[in-house]
Amino acid sequence: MAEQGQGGMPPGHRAARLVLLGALLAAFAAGVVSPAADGFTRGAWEQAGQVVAYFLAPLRERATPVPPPTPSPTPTSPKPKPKPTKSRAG
Amino acid sequence: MRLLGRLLHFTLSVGLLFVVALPLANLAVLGGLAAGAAVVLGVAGVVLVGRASWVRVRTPDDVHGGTLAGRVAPAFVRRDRAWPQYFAAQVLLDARAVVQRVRLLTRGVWVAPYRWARAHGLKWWWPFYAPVLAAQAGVAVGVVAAVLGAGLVTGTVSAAAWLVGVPVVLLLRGLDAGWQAVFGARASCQHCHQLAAVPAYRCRGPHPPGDRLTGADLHRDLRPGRLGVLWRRCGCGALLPTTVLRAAFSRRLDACCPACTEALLPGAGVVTDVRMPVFGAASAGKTQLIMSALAGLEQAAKRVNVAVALPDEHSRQQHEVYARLMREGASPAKTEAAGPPVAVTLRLTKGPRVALVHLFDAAGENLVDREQNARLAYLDHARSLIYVLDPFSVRRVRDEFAAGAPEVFAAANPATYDPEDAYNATVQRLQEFGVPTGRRRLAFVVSKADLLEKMSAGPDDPAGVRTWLRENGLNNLVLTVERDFREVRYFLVSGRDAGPDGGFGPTNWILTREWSGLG
Repeated sequence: MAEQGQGGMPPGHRAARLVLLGALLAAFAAGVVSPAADGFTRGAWEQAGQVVAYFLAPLRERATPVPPPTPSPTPTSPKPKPKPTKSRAG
Repeated sequence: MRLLGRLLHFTLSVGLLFVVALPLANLAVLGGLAAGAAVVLGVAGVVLVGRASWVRVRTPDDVHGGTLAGRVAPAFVRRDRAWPQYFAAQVLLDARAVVQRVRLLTRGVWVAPYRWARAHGLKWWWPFYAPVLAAQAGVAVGVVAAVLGAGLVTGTVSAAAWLVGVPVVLLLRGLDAGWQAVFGARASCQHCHQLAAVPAYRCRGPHPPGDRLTGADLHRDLRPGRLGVLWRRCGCGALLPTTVLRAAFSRRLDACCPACTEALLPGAGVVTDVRMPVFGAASAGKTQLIMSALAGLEQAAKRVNVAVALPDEHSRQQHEVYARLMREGASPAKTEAAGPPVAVTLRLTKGPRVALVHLFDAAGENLVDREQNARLAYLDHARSLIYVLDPFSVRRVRDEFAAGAPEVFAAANPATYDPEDAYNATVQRLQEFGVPTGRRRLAFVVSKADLLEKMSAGPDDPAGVRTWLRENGLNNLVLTVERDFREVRYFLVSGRDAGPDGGFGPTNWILTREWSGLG
């Protein structure tokens, strides 16, 4: 096992190390930025939810079933037949 | 007075502690936390960018020496001299290097201020040490948190690499194995007659002469694995493909026999490998059968537009001798019992399909001798065998016709060994070596048909060979053969015939089963 820098290493190792470094930096950046990003992200999601809810609202209203008419407790008398009216046009 | 001074100092110190030091300590903790995280990130950056000379590197020599984890199959002896995949080994060494360096730095953060304060005799200024202590504690906590975080990230990336890598490795290995199973591809050695699924490969990269001598340039297990998934980096720096399928067409690799390290034929391990060992008693007509089979295969290949080539010098020389003997109608010299088995190889190419056809011949004395035939390794690896029976060695034929046709018997030069014993000697040897003959096929050849015809002693047609054998006292042999082998086909062959009635019949039957027939 040798102790050396990256000079003697194959390109595959160098690439893998850079990927790992990128992941570390990304995680670090995410850790620093996340408190600010959290509020922004949450706001964006809430706004998106409101927009979706706005467009869904008419559909939900139409889909709401109309309640059947409740029968009245007292029997109703039959309505008088309307008298035929004369047409003015004759 | 002195007491008064001490009281005053104590009062001032406590005042400073509460008024100055503790507010400073709060800031120092926060600063320490940030500094600790920055130290870890900085050290990791230095290591990963490759500027750290203290990092241990797992080199190809370490791998060759056996420091890489994982099991190596006995067939591959030990790990090849190649760079290990980063996430198979080096990532752990890098992580360990980061932790060790960070620990050293943290220790320095704790030790250095204390030594400095003691060296400068600052014990009267102890309230001002509180922010230092707070900073040290902050650094320690920051370092631990950052190391844990970095470890989590490294573990996640490594796990992702393994999660992708392992299925790809299995898939590629499965492709190799599937291809070999479907096309009957194997690597046959022309020199030691050993058979391998995975050939060894010699790297053509810039190796020093010492590597060539010690075999450090040899890759015995080029399959995808810890030394690389799609590619591997040889110790010399050359980039090599990982699967047998790709290695066969690589210009950077030469296929070698894993047992004797002699060069293999091009395409070994990828093209269909048809091995046809011919066995039987001495003077049964084995060599004559091979001669006529070669001539018959060449003629038939021309008819059906299959390209025929002799891929190695030994086969070319042997073929030249056999072709001359066939033209002259002469008999071949007796195969030397003291010499090695003779193998002639043909490369047949039919469009994209290629086959290497090996015909193996050995002296009959060696085949029937239990000690000698133990060395004939080529017998073990064939999916089909050819047994040659000399009809003139059958007792009933001899008793009936020897006196009446002495000139025919003289020309036949009959085998003296009992045909049943000759068969049993070889087949029992196969079974003792664990060869599942019940999964093999056998071409049962009755030779010297032309001479048999002169006496009108043979079967009327090739289809009647089995009945003829039973009628001539070889019922037991027929039963044994059909019990021992999965598939048996009987042939009546004249070794002087280069056409379909010669050795072409049984060899073409085997070719049809294992590759593609020639009509």
